[in-house]
Amino acid sequence: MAPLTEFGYVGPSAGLLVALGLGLAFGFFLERGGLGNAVKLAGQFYFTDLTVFKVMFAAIVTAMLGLFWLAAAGVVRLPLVFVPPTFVLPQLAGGLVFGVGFVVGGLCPGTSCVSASSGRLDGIAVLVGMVGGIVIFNEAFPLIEAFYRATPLGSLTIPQALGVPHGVVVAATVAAALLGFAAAERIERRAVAPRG
Amino acid sequence: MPTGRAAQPYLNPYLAGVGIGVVLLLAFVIMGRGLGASGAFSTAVATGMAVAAPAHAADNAAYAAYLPDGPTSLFRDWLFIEIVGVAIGGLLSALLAGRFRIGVDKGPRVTVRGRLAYAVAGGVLMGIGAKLARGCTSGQALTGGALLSVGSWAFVLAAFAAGYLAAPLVRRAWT
Amino acid sequence: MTRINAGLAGVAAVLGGLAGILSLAGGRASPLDQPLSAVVEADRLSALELATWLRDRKPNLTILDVRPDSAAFEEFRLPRARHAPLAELRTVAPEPGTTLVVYGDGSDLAGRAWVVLKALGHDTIRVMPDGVGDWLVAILNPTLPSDAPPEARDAFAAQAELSRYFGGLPRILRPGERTGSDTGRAALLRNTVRRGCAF
Repeated sequence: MAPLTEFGYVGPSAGLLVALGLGLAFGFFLERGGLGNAVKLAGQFYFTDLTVFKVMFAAIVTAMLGLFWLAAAGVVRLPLVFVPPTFVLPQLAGGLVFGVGFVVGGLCPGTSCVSASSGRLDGIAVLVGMVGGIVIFNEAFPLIEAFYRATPLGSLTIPQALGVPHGVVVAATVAAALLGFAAAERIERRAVAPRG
Repeated sequence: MPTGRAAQPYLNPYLAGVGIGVVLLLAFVIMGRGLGASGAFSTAVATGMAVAAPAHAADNAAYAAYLPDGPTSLFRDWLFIEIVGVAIGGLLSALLAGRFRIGVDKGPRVTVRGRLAYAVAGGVLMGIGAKLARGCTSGQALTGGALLSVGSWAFVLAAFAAGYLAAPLVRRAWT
Repeated sequence: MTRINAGLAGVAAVLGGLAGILSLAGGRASPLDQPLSAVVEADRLSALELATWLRDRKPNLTILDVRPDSAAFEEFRLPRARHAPLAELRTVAPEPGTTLVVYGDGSDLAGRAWVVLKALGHDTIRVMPDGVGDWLVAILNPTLPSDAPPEARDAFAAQAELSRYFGGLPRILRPGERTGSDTGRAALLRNTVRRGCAF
């Protein structure tokens, strides 16, 4: 019965071993896909290399489908899986700021670790910057705390918010992702088409 | 297009994505939670501040939030251990693929110094954005995305939109 | 499109499509359709109701404290409560006819315990979502505003009697005084523990 931690099969120490193992696999696949290379990542935003989109949404679709079917089979008790709570305004604002940082830096927190451990100094530089950003945020916290805690909606999923069944949202997301992948392939082919 | 050296070609991105998706699914099934990255840095920063300036850390709600029982060992924090794993996994893959190289990935028109400056600046913005949003591409986009969380999808859409809008401004760094 | 990509796309399309069909045809709501709080809503129990059950010696009642920390349990627990941290609920054998009551610390702990216990085969599970705090406030330190209407005063009289049964200190607030000013959890706990009310 899953999640294994909720039913007592995995305790805190075992959980840390799991963290290491999952992290290893995560970092391994990120590097395999080339996401440890900032130039490749940044290509996303110039329509020359849409690897970020493909990897990210393939991962989302895989985990989303896996979770749906394991829950449908009674293996995973879905209410026990922690859904990060929604804070509409700060998450929108944070997303905007993060997105700018992403195209400026070319790496996100996870991929900058992979870049750094692949020997890239720019990966280390992004990590240094990120620590700085966190310190800036924390020091400024008293001023922005109200905004930070604004518009809380608790753990809220799209099926719950729209009143649409979970499986229908899953199906729609898969469809959108597949269409997106087809478009990405087309866009990339045009990007490498020889110019006169 | 940048040509590789003796390095192996990258894995099919869809397969890499499926691989990551399976890892994420295992996290849900085993731990009842997803993956993350920025949170590990938040904890590390808070722990560092607690050691360097304990009174200040205890006084500030943002630092204190990551130190519920005082500066507990960083090595018992799930996300921190996970991020250590990410680094090791990346290193292993790079070594196996002949892609380990001390150097700087940058566009053709920018200098190394310029690239590093952009990297730090980008990192600062992402640090702030990730704190506001309670996560980054790993914790919000991947984890929250797979869980169909409203706020997470809002974060992903906003991040991609902002990236595309800001891209023309930093074209010099990449192309 | 390469064969691998076509294969992946095909599998995704089939699994996604079936997910949609299952949800529409199956009828039974998936748990991701409702948040945890809604899942346990029908089995919610207030501290007042539990107190009434305990005073009236309701039979076949088992009370589980699902907080992880045994020190917290030693410091304060509800009457007749048994310590059963979430991770150890697997060891609680289901007994037909028993009513389980679970409480935690006011977080989603009790709700999660409900889901775990249901999955393990227990039938009757009631949840006190606000946890020890609910008991501390409603039973051990209930208060009534000085300007409360008559119906509220009558209801409070019954609550006060229940409170005194469990060693609580019901009181009517002074004019202008509001609850919450010194009913902080820690303060309540100190007052309660000092008077030795850990049944």
